Amino acid sequence: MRAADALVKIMEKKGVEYVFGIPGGANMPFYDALRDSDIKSILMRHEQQAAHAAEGYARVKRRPGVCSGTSGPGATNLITGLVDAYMDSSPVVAITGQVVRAFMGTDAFQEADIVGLVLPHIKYAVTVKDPQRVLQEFVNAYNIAAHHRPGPTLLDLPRDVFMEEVEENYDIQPEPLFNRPLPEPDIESIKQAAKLIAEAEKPVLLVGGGAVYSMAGKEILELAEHIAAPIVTTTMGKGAVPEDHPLVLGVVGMHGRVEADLAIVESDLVICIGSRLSDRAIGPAKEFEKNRKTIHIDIDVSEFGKNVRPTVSLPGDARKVLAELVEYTKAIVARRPECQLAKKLREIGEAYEEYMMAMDDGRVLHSWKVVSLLTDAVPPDTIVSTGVGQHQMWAQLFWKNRTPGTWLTSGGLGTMGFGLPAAFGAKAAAPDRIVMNLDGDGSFLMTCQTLACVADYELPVITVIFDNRSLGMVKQWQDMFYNKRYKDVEYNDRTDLVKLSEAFGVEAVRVESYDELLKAVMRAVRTNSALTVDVPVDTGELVFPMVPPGRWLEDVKLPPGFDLSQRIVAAGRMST
Amino acid sequence: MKFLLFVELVNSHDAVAKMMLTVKQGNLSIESINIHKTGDDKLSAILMLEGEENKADWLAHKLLNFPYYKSTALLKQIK
Repeated sequence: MRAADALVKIMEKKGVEYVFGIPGGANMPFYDALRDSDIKSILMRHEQQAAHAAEGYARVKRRPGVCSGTSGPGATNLITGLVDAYMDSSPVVAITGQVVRAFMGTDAFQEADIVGLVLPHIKYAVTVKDPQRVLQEFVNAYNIAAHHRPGPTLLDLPRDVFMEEVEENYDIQPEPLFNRPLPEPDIESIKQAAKLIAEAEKPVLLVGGGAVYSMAGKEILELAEHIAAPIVTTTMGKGAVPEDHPLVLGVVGMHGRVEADLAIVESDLVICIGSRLSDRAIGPAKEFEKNRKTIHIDIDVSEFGKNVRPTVSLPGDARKVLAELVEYTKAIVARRPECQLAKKLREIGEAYEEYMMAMDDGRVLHSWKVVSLLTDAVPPDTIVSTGVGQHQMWAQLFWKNRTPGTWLTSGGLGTMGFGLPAAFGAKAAAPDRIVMNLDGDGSFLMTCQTLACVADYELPVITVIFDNRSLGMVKQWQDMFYNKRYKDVEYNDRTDLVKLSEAFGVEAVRVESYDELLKAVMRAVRTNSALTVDVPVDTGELVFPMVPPGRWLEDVKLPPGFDLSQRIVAAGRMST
Repeated sequence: MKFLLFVELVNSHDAVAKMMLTVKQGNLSIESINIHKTGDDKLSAILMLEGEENKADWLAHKLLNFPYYKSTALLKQIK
C-alpha cells in the first residue's frame, strides 16, 4: 500500500473527520488517498484559514484538528495559524507536502524548509524521509498535539515518500518521548496550598485557558463557593465557568472588566489555574507579586516562576489538582458565607454597564450594545468566535459565556482574521449548534474568503461585522498614546461588505438599528442559516476600561465621565 | 546569573536547532556549548548560559515539553 493510503487509513482509525487544506504538487498523493476515504477534505481558500479552522475544530471537539498545505508557499501560509495554535495551546496537526527527496536542498521549485521555519513555535515538526516511519510519525505527532499542554505539530512529507510502498500496521503506539506521564498532584504541596487558603482573607481565583482544556469548571466553582472567593478569568480562560454565576466577575487585564481588575488589586491570595500570567492579564509581574501570595496550578511546570514567582506551585492537570485541593481545603476551612467582596465588585460592574447603556443616545449603533443584545438573544450553548481588535475587547467585556468551551479567540498571538475560519472549523465540529463570529471589518477582510467554504460545505456561520471602517484598536492607541496622530488606520467607504459576502454565496444584510440586527440574526438562528450582518458602529468609540501598557491594574482608565472613585475607595476598605 | 545545563537529546538537526531557539526565547546569552554523539540516536549537550535567575529552571523544564529531549539537569548555578 502507498504510504499516502496508509496514512489516511491510520488517520481514519484515530478518528480524524476533517482535513482543512489546499492540494498542490507535493501533497497531491495525500489528496489522492483522501479521495477514497471517509475523511472529509475541506477545500479552503488560503492555508492560514485552514490552520485556524483546524484550531476552531480542535477547541470545540477537544481533539486535534488537521490541516494541510503543499510544499513552499502552501506550507509557509500555514505558519501564522500554527503559531497562533502554539500561543493558545490548541492541538493542531499540519501535514505538508515537500519536494521529492532527491531535490531537497537544491532550492527546487516550491521548496521551503518548513520544519526549520516553524521550529520556534511548534511542539514537534519532522520531515519524514523514511517511508516506513510515516505511520509511526503520524501517531507520534497526533498524540503529542493533545498530550500534556496541547499545541501544534507538523509532518512534512516529500512527494515521493507518499508514493512508496509501506507495510500496513495500524496498531501503533506513540513512542515514549511522545507519551510522557503527566505530572501528578503533589499532596504535600496541596496541603500547603490549602493552608494558604485557610489563612487568606481575600482569596481570588484567576482562571486561564488551561482550565478550559481541562474542563475544570465544576471544581473551580466548588472551591470558589466553599471559600466564598471571586473568580476572574484571562482572555483564554473566558467560558471555563458560566459567566452568569454570582462569583464570576469576568475577564481581567488590560481590557478587562473593572470589577475583575479590582478583585485582583484587592486580593491577598490569587489561585492561578492554567494561566501563563501574561502581561495582558496581570500587568507588571512585580506589582502583582506585591502584597499577595499565589498558588499556581499548571500542567506545564516551566510556567512556574516564568513571570510570577508562586508561593506554592501545584503541577498537574487543573481538574485533577483542583479536585484534591477542594478536598484538603474543605477539611480545614469551614464553608464561608456569601462573598461580600464579590457582591460589591459586581455592583461596580453593574454600574459600569448601566453607564455604558445610558451613553446610547440612539444616534449611532454602539458595539457594546450590539454584543450585549446578541448574548441575551442567542441560545446559551452558542459558540462565539472573534477577530482581534476593539470588537474582540467589547466581546470580552459584554459577551456572557454560559457553557464551557464556547469562546474562541486569538488570545496569545492576537491574529486578526482568526474569527471566521475558526468559527467555520467550530461549525464542522458542532453542526447542530449555533456558531457566531463577532468580527471587525479589518479582521473580516483578512480571511473573508472562508465565506466561500461556509457556502460550499453548508456549514452555516453567522458573522456580525462591527464595521467602523478602521483598524479601531490601532486608532485607539494613536488617539491615546500618539496625540491623535492617526496614520493608516482608516478604510475607505467603497468596499461593500454585503456585496462581498453575497459574492461568496452567503446572504448578507446591512442593518441600521438594533431591532433590524436582532431580527436578522434570530431568523438565521431559527433556520440554522449562514448570514453576514454588516453593523455600522460608532467610528469614534474607544474601549474602556483600559489599563495603559506597563501599568498596574489599579491604574485602570474608565470611560470618560464615569466616576467610580467613591466605590473604588469603598472596595479598598472592604473585607470578606 | 550563569548556569550549566546538561541536555540529553535525540540525534537530529531539529533537536539541536529547537534547543538553541528555546535558549533564544529565554533571552539567554551563550557562554559555551558542547554537543557530542553518545549513541546511535542520541546526543548530549552541555550549555553554559547567562541570563535571569528564573530562566535556568524555565529552560530545563521547557525543553522537556518537546519530544526531542530525553532529560535535562541543572548542574551548577553561579550568581
